[in-house]
Amino acid sequence: MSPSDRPGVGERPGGGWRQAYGPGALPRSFLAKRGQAASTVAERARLQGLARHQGLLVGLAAVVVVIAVWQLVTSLHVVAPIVLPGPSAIAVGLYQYATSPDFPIDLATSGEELAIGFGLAIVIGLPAGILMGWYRLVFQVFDPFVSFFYSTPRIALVPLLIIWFGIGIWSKVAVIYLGAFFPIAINTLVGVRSLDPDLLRCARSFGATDLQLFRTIALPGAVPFILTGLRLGVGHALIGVVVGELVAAQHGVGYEMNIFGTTYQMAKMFAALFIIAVAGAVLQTAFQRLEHRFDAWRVSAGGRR
Amino acid sequence: MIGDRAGAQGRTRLRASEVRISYWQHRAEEPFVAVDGVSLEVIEGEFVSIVGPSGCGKTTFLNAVDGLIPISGGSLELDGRPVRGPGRDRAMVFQQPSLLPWRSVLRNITYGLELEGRRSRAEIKEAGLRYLSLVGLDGFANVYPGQLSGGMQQRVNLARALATDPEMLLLDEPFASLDAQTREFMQLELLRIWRQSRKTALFITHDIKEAIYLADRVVVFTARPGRVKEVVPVPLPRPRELRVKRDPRFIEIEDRVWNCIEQEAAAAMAGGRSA
Repeated sequence: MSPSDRPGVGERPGGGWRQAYGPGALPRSFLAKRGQAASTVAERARLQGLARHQGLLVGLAAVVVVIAVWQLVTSLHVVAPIVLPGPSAIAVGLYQYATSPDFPIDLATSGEELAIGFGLAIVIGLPAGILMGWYRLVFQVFDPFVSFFYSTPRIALVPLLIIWFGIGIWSKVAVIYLGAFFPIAINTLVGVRSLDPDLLRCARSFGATDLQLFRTIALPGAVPFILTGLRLGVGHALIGVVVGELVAAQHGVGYEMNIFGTTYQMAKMFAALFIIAVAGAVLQTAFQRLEHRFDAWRVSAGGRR
Repeated sequence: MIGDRAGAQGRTRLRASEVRISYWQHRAEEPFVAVDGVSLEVIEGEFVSIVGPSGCGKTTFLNAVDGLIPISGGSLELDGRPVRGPGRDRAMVFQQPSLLPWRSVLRNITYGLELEGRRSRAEIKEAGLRYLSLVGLDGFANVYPGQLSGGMQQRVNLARALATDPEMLLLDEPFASLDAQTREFMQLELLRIWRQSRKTALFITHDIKEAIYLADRVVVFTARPGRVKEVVPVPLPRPRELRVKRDPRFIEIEDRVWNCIEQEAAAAMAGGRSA
């Protein structure tokens, strides 16, 4: 159907992990058993609430167990703190780092790089994907370049980007942009291309112009793909932040992480890693929320589609 | 009251003479001839069914009438003007509901009107609600198509075609994917709606009973390349209840149509073997 069925590109919209592991995927046996005993309405309502939050509760429990085991392993000195600091040590490191004077500057620097780089990737990647998906000629012109750069390890270009843009934020912006641009553009392109032939015929029958066809069929159909592209783009952008700052920088969470690592302050290094991971999780969740909002019709269809 | 519509009083809406439709298939050595020499006239307000063995070019012919594909020979005229492309005077009810899944039922019904862009938002909405009611889906305006049953989706498909107020309604096996009971009920509904809207209708089906029950005339196509083999008039009074299908006169007509089809189906299968 589409020329962009390259591996790793154009992930099916709808969020893979949520379908595989989301609410409902787990056997409800332990809840069901208790459900039989639940006689009062209030009790049943409570259990339904529990069932709704089952995914969250199970996830939380798993995290608690892992942290506890981790803490135990380090407290018993099974591994040296330099190899793997324990959760408590990391918490102390996080507190120390978060209260240091560098922290606000680092956070602002990394945040600014991320905002500009990812923002540019959206502002350029979305229209680029739309144009490539809609106009065959535009696709033919740009496809060789997109294919070439998509399969290039762009991280390896960091030294070059530093020569071009200096060690300030702009070299990092460039790394982030290059990371996020491709998933956004390619997913948008695939989305715009994957027109349902039945809908196409219907629109043509009603005398739709090319522009109307684009606005009423291609664009709404592409929205789930676009949001998937944005979600993938966030991940690439965060990798860009860290890698860009690793090589050469003056400030930034990734830069600090590198300093901590090379000076054997492992607890603080993990603390910085934690901050980046939290940022990633927050952004991913935000995009997932957006995805579900736009997918109201798909969700309500109960997987019929 | 609207008994014999096929009478001579109406003017000709659709005139097809010696229509030939052929197209090139991928890597084929000669063009694929779907329809060759179809001549047919449909009178204003008439309901005409086309039946024929599968692959006989019925749907291709209907697509040509809608203007979705060009004809390669003969002439195809609507109200005296040659068909050059899709137009507001025709609307198609597709075999697949082909509803826009991200639009509510109401906004699917008004899709054609929105594309026309001639009326105000309020007028479009009002028209949409009227046709929603006509197909018996009051209260489903803001539901998404994915939440509807197959029969309900086809009602929306029908309402969408009616909403643009076309002069001619083209129906491409719209009930083919419905279960038997829903199908019968939808036939009854279609006749009710057709009586109210007084559109000219061209209905494609491979169900002979369905064709006869709905139509003023049944046109039987030959095996591919499709031609008109025979036109069978259906002089049964309207309005028709579903039990008319057990009427001896109905069964007589059914036998006649079935005999035509049988010969063609046999020919089609023999053709399939030799190919």
